[in-house]
Amino acid sequence: MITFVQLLISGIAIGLIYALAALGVVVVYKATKVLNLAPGGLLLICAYLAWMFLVQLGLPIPIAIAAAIGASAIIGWSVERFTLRPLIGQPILASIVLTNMIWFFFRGSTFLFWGGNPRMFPKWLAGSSTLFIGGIGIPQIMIWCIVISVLTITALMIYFKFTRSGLAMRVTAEDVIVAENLGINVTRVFSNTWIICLLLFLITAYFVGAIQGVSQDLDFIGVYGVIVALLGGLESFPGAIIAGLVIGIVQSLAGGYLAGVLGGGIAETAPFMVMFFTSFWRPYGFFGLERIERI
Amino acid sequence: MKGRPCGVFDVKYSQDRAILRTKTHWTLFIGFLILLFTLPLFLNTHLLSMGIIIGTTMIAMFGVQIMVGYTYQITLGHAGFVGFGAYVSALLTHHLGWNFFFALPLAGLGAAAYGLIIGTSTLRCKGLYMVIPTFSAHFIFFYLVNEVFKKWTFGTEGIECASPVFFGFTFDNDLSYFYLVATMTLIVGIGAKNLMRTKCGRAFVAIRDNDVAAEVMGINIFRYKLLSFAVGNFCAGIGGALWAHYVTYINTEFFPVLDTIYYVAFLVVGGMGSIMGAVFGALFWRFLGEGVNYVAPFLDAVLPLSAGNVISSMGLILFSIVTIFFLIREPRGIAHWWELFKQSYRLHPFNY
Repeated sequence: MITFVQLLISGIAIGLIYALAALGVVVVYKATKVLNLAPGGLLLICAYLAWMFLVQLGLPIPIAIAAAIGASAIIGWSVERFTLRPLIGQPILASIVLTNMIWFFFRGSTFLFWGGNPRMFPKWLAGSSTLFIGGIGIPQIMIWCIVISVLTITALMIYFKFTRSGLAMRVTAEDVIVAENLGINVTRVFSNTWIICLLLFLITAYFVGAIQGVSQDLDFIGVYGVIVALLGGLESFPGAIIAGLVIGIVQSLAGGYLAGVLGGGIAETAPFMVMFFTSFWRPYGFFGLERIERI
Repeated sequence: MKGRPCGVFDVKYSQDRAILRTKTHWTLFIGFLILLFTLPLFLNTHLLSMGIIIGTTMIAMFGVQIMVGYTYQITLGHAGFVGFGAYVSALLTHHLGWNFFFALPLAGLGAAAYGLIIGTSTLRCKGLYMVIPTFSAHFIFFYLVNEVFKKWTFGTEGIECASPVFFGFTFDNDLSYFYLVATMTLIVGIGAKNLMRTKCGRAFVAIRDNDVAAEVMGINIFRYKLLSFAVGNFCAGIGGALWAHYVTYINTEFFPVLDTIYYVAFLVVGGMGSIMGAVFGALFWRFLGEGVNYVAPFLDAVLPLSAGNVISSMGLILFSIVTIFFLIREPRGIAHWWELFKQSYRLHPFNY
């Protein structure tokens, strides 16, 4: 029983990280109708930039955090401005290939500058200590992860629901032409979306970097982030959270119980199998909107 | 409507439908065949082996073209399907001692069967959401090879593939293998070109242009989408098997996630919706890769970065920049330039 609860808790911890990465995908899809397959590369560049400001350059912590946020925002803005904006109106394949290529570009450039060795973040926020409650160990980082993700999600929902620019985003998501007729600056909305997306990736990248170190393996979190976003439904924030928890728990339980029977690779493959079978049952994800098509 | 050269009139339907219509066409085609089959005389071993790799890539690329370019079933699992074909052929020749030339069609059919299983998801998914099953297919392939059938595939250790033998003649050097691959590429290429002129091919194009409208017009879209998966993956399997028996040793490391995305990306670079697009895509991909192999060690020595960083990352960076450039500047791909060239040749003395 204790093993089960332990696996469940580690599944929830990793699932929340997937959910945070998935939120970046969902935000972009909601406003711009682009399936963002790039979180792998964007997580890498965010993590390495944050590591550079915090450790490599050794800046004071508040300045380093501000610099990391600023750098991520600039990357988000330029990704939208220079690659995605020329592709507005192109078929979906163009954006799928393009975001994949952004992933490869950042994967390549982080490797070019920082190499393949794993780097560690300082432990000032993510304490490495573990709390024990009734024989079940809960890593402290996980509590921080829960707190931060809940705060982020609440902030995002408030932003979308109650602010003017959030409202503009919702209108743009519904119909770009209507939004333009209403006087909304659609291109600015797209830029804002990508900046928000990159800030979400920065938070994710920090947690992953604090848990397993900053290395090229980080982009696999991005792949799972995409999966979680698709499983939860591309238009839904709560969907991303629920799907993140499902994928995390499935992965953790599969690794714990099935690895002996079905081989060690089941932990990595189980999310994909869940995805594949869900695509028959709910192809638009748990909470995705099914678009009614006309000729 | 494509323009006919001045003075060429179609007086029979068979002339209208023919791929090679004029004497110039025939001369060029026969000249191309002669060039292709005398190519080994001019090439050294390195270029010859590159030619073989290009040929196998091209065969797999025809499959991507049929699936993505003609039917618009976005596939992000093609390297997995290529690997599936390679493994089917490797297992049949290694464990059952089959002749390669019997295993080759079965490799295609095996990959097609796997594609059909994945393709059943087209019943519900479409468009963007096709990313889900096809991307999963790639990882499920890894899992099948490395864990489920480990007893036969030897997992990550890899499996040996014997060189093909044909009535006592072994294709074990680059020269003979080049002829084998060139012949197969021609057969698959002409087959793919002809498929697109049949009822089936026109149904594919109708589904690509608007699948709801295609269904209204009486096309059984589920059947034709599955057919597209089967045909595309058949090509992938053939390409994979030919490649596997050239390198004579495979494991799952040879079919990375990167390749699966490059297949689609270089299809876009080559040009969607024409067989020439697949040809240009495969050529461009492999020549660019070769260029990177030449330049990267030099840059690695020059640039003030840690040793080896440039060698491992230059391919990723260059490929992504080139693809992004093509997506933004020339989304119709290299095949469009080819069409422009042909058009200007036909109208030669005039501008338009």
